[in-house]
Amino acid sequence: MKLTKKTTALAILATATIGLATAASNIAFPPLGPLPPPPIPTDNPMSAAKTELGKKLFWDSRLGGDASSPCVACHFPELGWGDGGEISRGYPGTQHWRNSQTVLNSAYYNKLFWEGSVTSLEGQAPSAAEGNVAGNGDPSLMEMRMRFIPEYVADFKKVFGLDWPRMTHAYQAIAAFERTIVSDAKQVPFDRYANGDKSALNDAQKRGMALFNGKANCIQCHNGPLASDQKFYALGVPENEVFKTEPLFQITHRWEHYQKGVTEKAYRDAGLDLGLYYITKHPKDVNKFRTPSLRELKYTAPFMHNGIFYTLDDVVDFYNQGGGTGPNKSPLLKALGLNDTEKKDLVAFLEALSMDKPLLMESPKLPPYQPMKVAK
Amino acid sequence: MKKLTLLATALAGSALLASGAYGYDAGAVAGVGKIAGKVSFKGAAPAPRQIAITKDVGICGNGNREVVEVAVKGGALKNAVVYVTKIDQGKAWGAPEKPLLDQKGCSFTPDMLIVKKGADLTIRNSDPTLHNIHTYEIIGKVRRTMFNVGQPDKGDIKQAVNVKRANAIKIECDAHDFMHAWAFAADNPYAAASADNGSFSIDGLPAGDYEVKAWHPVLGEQVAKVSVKAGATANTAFEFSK
Amino acid sequence: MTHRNLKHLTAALALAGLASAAFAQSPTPAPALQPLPEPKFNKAQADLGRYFFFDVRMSGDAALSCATCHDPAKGWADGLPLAKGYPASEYFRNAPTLLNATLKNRFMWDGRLDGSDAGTLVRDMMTEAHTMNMDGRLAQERVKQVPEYVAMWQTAVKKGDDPNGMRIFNIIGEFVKSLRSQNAPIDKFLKGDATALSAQAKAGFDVFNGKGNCVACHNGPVGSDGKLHNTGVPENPAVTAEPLRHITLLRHYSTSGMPNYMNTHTDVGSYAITKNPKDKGKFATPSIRDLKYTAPYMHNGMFATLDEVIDFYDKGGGAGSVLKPLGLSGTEKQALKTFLTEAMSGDPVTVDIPKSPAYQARTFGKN
Repeated sequence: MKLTKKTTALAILATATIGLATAASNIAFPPLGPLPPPPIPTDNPMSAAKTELGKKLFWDSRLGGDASSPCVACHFPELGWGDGGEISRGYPGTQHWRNSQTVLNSAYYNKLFWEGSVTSLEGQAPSAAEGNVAGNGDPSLMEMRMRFIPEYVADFKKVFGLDWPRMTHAYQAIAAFERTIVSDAKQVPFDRYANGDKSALNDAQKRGMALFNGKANCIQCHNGPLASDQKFYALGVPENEVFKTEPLFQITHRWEHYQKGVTEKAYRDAGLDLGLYYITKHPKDVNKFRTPSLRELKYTAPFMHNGIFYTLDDVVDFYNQGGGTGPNKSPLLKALGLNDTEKKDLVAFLEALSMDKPLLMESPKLPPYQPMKVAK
Repeated sequence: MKKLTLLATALAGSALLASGAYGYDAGAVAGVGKIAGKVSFKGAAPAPRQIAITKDVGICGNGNREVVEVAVKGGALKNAVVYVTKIDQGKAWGAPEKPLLDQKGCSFTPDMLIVKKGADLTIRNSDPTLHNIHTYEIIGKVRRTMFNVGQPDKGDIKQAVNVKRANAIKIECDAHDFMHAWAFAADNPYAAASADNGSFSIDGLPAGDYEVKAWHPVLGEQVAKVSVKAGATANTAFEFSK
Repeated sequence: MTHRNLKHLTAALALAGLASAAFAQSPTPAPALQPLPEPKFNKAQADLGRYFFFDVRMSGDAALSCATCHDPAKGWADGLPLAKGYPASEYFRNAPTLLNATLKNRFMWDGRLDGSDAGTLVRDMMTEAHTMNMDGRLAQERVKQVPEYVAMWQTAVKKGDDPNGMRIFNIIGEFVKSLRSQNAPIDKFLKGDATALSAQAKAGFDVFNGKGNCVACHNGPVGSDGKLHNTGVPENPAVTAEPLRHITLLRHYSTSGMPNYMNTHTDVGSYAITKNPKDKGKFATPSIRDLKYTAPYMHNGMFATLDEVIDFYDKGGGAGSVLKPLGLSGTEKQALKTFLTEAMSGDPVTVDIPKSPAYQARTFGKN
């Protein structure tokens, strides 16, 4: 699958440079700016019929083990396309162990999940649908279910030319639908400002923008149109207290370590989310997580990989003190010395990276099962 | 927690019970009045959500479940909780102290439950299938899991309503994504949910001036100031809109 | 397996002094029913396995346990023609009894699992998406979260051992091994007590061994030859009328690698496994012990009563059957039925049903 990285980079350069800090040290970072259209892989082109099918599948709980947990259950439009909780729910009898990330603008990431475990939306969907603390679905069973839903049989024929629905194509349709869940630049105050409307940001937001690019130096990692460099850093975010006291969370925490294939010692001592380490197994990657985009934060509380910060004020306080303590803590985080007004201004600017109104949509009507006609 | 209990005990005086953690003393009251009124909704109510029933159709029904978030009938708004925000002593708790939530026909009953903060909620499974209640405390834009418990068989379990700071509780079933309800975790027993016709009534209130709020799960909150006189009913109304 | 059978066979013949009328003059010993041997199982593991057997947390969403379809109060089956499945699925075959299961040569109606490996049977049931949909590693961590289970594990396995997923299956397997019929009159009779059966039951036994020739396939300790046969049992219309069952049937075919699975809407039995056209419609001979408790009968529960079963065999089975009509009289049929319910069925088998102990918080970071 080819991501159009080159096109994106050109788009960034073509965009007027806005808000670049005057400090020389920040010239290296790509500036914030409106997002280009999301990259489309050549082997999963978009079409209206495909995204419509993908929307139905996104809402359909029959894609999962016990028909309890469709994608939408943890990526709910009214909850910022996440699940609004610190740690995501799982299917009945389980809890997940990380914060559910928003689907908004997920089309732009080159890696999905907090530890970057998959490299496409097409790869994220099966991880979630089949994950044993997520959807717990079996692909062969989910696929057979779709084959007993005549409307899906017709949809897959129309969209993919298949005689029978296939799970791989279901994931492609879902990915295509997710590529439509993106910020509308006309609705984002910062994007309007970047596109020429100098009144789109108020004074507090403009001051905040200057802090973002200067004194607060958020731009070091939260840069480019996505407001994320998509790299991995450890911030010393404190562990979520639920892991100390709640059985369901403890079960998942151990399970994650066991099934990710860490050493026995790492499993037995597991008292921390090791982040990128699970992928690379390199000690320097312990506790590192992928920089999330700062778009749509108005709708995606709480924040961080374990959802411990409920408000942007809390987040800014955390960075103002220089982050927390923990392994591989990034040297980029330093105490900022922001006063109360500066903190408020910074939050005001962060909110200006969100659409004025949340992106909501009606639930699709889901088609029923029908008995299959069989020859007598 | 301990500090509040000591404070409550100190305030006890003629109180029959120390209420525990949340600083309200329940006991005998005299010279009481009532707050009554109506909650209304202006404009066209948003359409209910339609969620497909994709499992247990023999128990939960066929087709779609209609989830009504804004229940309006002839301009009257149902399930807005009208409550007194601050009162230190007053009547006994009554029903909110022994709350019961039923899961029947894959629906929560009632769909708006008033519970005492910290009370043990009896959760009943009346259906021959797994229900898995998952409650969330709504703190600003965040929903914090309060408890998440499976009930594979019919019967009752108890879970404590231990909110950290908020009143609003969302109730869902992890096994059936079309089951939704709300609860209001009250600091005192002076809370009532508006009925079908929008009416509400809060009685046994000692005479005095009170701040009264009307909270609706998706429409937000309204405030009013009410003066209650002994033996009389103070009328107040709330109007919500989209 | 053959040696064990021969030993028991010789002993049984010597003790019972039965004449096996159908196969006189044959050089190999004639097939015959045999008494139940003493069960062999690890007691400590079977006790822990009993807890797991009744614990709903052994299924993915904690909705059902092994006991849901293998209910002691229902003959360790479920009393339904077709078993239910994991939530949002339904099953396409009948749940057989677990009594004496591990004495069978093969497990499952299509005989696809080896009867000597109870652990694999349990793994199949627990991890299969349409039965319990449990990830073995997650089951392990759930077990670890219950202090009573961790403690019992030390005794059942060895001190200092951690609960681990694969061993959970074996431990439940030990419990399954312990489930045996109790006090079936046939066992006393086969060991020499002629008073153990009533006159009518004895007459039924004669039909069983003689005119009915049931013993040709229903022999050995549980009344099963451990082989696959086609008796032409009619299809159960519910399998194709109910999408949730039909889905499971076709998915079973597809995951078994059976060709043309989207166009196969009948239960083809072991053909799905062997892909040999000769095996279409063949099912494993089930046990005929404790039939008093395990209605309805056959791989798809199509016969609600033993009268229906006997009538079916009397007419030589259904289309494609290898059986021949029997020509039984009404008296003979009654006697045969009495033999099956009175002689072959023992006392109800009960166990102490444990209350599943709750999860408790552990010290975080000490795993």
